[in-house]
Amino acid sequence: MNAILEIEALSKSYGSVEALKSLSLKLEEGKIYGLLGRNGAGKTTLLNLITSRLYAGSGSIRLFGQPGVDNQKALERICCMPEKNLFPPAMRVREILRHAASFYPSFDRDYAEALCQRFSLNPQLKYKALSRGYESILRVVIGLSSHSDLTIFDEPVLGLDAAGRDLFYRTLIADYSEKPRTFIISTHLIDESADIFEDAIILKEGSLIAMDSVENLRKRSIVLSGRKDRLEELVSRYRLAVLSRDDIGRLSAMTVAAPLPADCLAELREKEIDLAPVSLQKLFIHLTEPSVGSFERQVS
Amino acid sequence: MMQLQLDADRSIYLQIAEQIEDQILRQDLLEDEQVPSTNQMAALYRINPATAAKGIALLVDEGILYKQRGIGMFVSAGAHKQILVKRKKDFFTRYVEPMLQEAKNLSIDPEEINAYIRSRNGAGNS
Repeated sequence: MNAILEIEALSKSYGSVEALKSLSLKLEEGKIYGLLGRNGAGKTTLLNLITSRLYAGSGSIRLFGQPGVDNQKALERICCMPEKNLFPPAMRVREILRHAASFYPSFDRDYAEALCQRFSLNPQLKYKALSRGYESILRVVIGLSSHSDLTIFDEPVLGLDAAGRDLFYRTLIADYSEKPRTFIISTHLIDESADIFEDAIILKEGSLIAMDSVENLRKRSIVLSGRKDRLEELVSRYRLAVLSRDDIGRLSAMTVAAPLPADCLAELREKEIDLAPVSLQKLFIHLTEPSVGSFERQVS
Repeated sequence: MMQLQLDADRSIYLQIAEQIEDQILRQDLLEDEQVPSTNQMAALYRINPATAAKGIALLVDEGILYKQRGIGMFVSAGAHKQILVKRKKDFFTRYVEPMLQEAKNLSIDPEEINAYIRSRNGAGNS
């Protein structure tokens, strides 16, 4: 598959704070990527570097196979809807959309109008009159209608209620199905968006700690629950890496690295230990835990 | 009825495959009938189309669905029987084993379970 974005050893510091530490990654054309990370992990910095809104201290960015920094031709093929847009407060939604249409070469004005209707966004309203939720809707309308080869949403559903978020996910899938292209979606709402993503990119403190299909990421760990004494015995005998554990009375639930050895799996039923998969959100919490590994030390 | 909810605890693509199988099993989808497209499945379940495609590909590999180029996916002849055989094999591990485990926790004698099943069958026949 074609690489749409290739990043090599990208670093960015703000004074003494390292926002990105020698980050490398490669995105393939035509996928929906989830960009996940705790606050301050470097997500927004990364997006700003991709779109030349910021410049890196070192490293390289290639867009569509070309050098990416300040490459106007390549940047025209990207629509990035940041968390905060700086549209003129007195400008009406209709005018903002007209500007967007002149800015993005593949912008579909009819579709933008249809989306305004679908999300009940009144095009006559001035930007400053929009609530947080409607501001998000405007970004969604521009991002989807741009039909750009690479569309980036930073927290697209901020301030949207559950119905609005559901409508966004559905609209995104329908539009993506019809016109497959690449999306990067940065979000904190992992549980509700995990099924939308094909791959997830997980950042922690400025570094890439995991990037794989959501399906594969979910296979990396598993929750075992049952009698604490039996679990502890099993975990130490098979030297399982315990990512986290919760104890209550004689019972314990341990998240352990997967896959488990076949012999271990075979013992579970007899020991009355239940096995359940881990959601992407739980995996994310384990992976980005600042103190990850402390439980492993306790057990081993 | 088609189940419209997916379970967060299991692989999404496996559930997509199972739901299509369920429909074939209940004859909601007949042999040589076209199955919903990947995009329709993705929209219905609010999932990435690649995931829906993976579920459908699994059934193609197993010979339950076949592809007609340019048109879509169809239910293979003999798919109903094939699923029946496969599911029957799974029945004991998937349903009976957990039941026996729970019965053990509750100190229910296996003979009690046998008696219950016999009485149910008796009621069904009368």
